[in-house]
Amino acid sequence: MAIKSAFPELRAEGRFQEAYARFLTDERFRELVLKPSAPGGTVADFSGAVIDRLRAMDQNRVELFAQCLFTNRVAAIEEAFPLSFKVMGHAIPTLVRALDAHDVAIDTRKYAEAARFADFVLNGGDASARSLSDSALGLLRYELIMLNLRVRPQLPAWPHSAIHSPEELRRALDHDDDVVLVLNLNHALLGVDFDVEVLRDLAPDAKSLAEAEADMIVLLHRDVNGVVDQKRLNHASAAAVLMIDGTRTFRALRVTLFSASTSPPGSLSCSPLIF
Amino acid sequence: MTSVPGRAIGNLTPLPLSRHIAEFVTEKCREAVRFLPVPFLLENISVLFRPGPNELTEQEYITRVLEGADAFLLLDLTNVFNNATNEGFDAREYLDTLPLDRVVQIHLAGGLASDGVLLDTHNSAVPTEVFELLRYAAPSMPLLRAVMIERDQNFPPFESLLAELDTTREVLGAFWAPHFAAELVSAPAWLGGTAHGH
Repeated sequence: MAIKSAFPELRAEGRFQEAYARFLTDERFRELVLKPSAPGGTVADFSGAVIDRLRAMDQNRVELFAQCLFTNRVAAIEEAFPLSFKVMGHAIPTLVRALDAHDVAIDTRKYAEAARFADFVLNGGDASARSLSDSALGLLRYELIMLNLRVRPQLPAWPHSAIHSPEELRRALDHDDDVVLVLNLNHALLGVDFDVEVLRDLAPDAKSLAEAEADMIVLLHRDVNGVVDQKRLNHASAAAVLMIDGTRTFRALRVTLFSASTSPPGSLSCSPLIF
Repeated sequence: MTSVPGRAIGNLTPLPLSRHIAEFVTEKCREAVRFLPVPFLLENISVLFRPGPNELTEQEYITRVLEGADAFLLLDLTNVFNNATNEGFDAREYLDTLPLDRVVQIHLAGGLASDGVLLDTHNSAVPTEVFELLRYAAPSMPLLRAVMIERDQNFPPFESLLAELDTTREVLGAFWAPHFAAELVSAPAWLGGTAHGH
């Protein structure tokens, strides 16, 4: 509730609220305010009286609340872009902080916030975004398009460049590239005979596969009775997603797996239909 | 407060409990009450800290706004329980000084404890203490029309959710239905009463 009023008391309160909101959402500003200095000192154009009110608050609780706000934003990105979240991993908090430094959020509803994040990353918003692999960026672009289809863009909070049409999705599906392969992994009902052990052998390192099995991604999974449970991890997809890097593409993985599937019976039980 | 011009906070955030702010909020609510053809309800929030100055208690603040704007209360009992735990006050004494005759809806939820601080995360079962607050306060709410259990994440088996509903019904069952038939002392126009001019 922002205050715009002719009354001096409320005008002053409105100024305090500007500082208060920034204090809760801007880590650097919080550090500046809490930096030891004489009472009554100004910070970033805010009066000493305003700064003293911020300092008088319970800072442990403020920090806890600020961390909750940040966690909520990261969780919103995970919900909107689960595969990208898995691939980007530890880079996500850094990217969110970079986004904060670049542009202040004016609408933190989860899908609008996620779209703003994707727009920032896809447009190379900062060095950490530009360091992401093409595959990771392609995956994020695909998931952004899917988000467009799932959730009607909430204008004006959605960046214009983050709005995609169904036609753009159709064109994306026509491409025989890594992203489409991820799409197939994400949405195909995988046969129960798909052998994750094959992927385990191909995985770049054991740690990555362990993360894949950490129940991070919600994908379609069909059990031995043919029942689809969206709550269960699809290990094959998760492991394959983790193989995206600069040296191994999904296209290469497909070739490897397809080649393996032609081996003598018993040596491999994955279905080539997946790829 | 959830935002200021040019910046969103992303969550409900406490305002100072001052007379000026109470007057300002009341005027905003009056506008909403005048404009809306349905009852206007305000909800008490979960608070981890308070920006000063705090000239009023939260109950005084809520009462001023509701009475001044002729609005009603959506009482989140879990927020009362969380705030009582985090701020160290007695939840029943708090409820005793709220305008319970203006409560139209109740919210129940379960949260998360972080270093002894309760967070309103809607990701666990409703605590027993919150059901006890419901049992304590609901008989003083003649306008109560709905009780909702909030659960946003970490969903348990469906049977567990149904069990929470059963507990809610058991707690309310003894006294809720008769209140529907009772003569309402402060019934607003939308309930067929005469006390309020909506």
